[in-house]
Amino acid sequence: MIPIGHYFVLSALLFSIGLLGILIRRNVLLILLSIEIMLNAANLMFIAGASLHGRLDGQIAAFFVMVIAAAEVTVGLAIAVLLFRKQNSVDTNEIKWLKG
Amino acid sequence: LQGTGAEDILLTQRFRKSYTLLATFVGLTFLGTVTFLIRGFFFPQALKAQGTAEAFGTELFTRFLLPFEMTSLLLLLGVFAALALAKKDPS
Repeated sequence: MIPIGHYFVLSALLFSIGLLGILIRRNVLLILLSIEIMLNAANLMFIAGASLHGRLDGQIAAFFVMVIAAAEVTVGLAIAVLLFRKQNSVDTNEIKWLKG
Repeated sequence: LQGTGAEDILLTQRFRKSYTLLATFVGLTFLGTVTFLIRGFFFPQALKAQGTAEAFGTELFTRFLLPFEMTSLLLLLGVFAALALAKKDPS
């Protein structure tokens, strides 16, 4: 089988790629995409940990993470739609309404 | 996915320049920390649990029934929230 360390490193790599994407992206939709990448990294680690210990708890935890991700994407996309309606672009550099 | 006029934006302008260095540093530090912490874990592991759908369903509906019902309620509330947020005003 595949050693568990490989799952760890892949999950950490995916998580840091998602983290990098959230920190430096300007497009709101791509920020949401990076959040999804981070959630996928956590899911991968849940499943790998469940397989390592021989239990089903990690798989059920991954199930609930997917449900929460679906609800969060729903609300996040609704907010992105509102943002687009207000400023007619999805650039986060143009959110300047609280200044001055 | 990039929106309208994405071809006009240069690659160097698509990111927040002031955060790129710091974000790369944070990401690499995180990756290095995790890889350093797990350096003893590279042994082959046998697949112990048979993740059959029957076992998964039994666990989900007996031990984890309360989180299951709560997340179904959460999904319903998410749908209501998205509806309320994205509705156009009839004005």
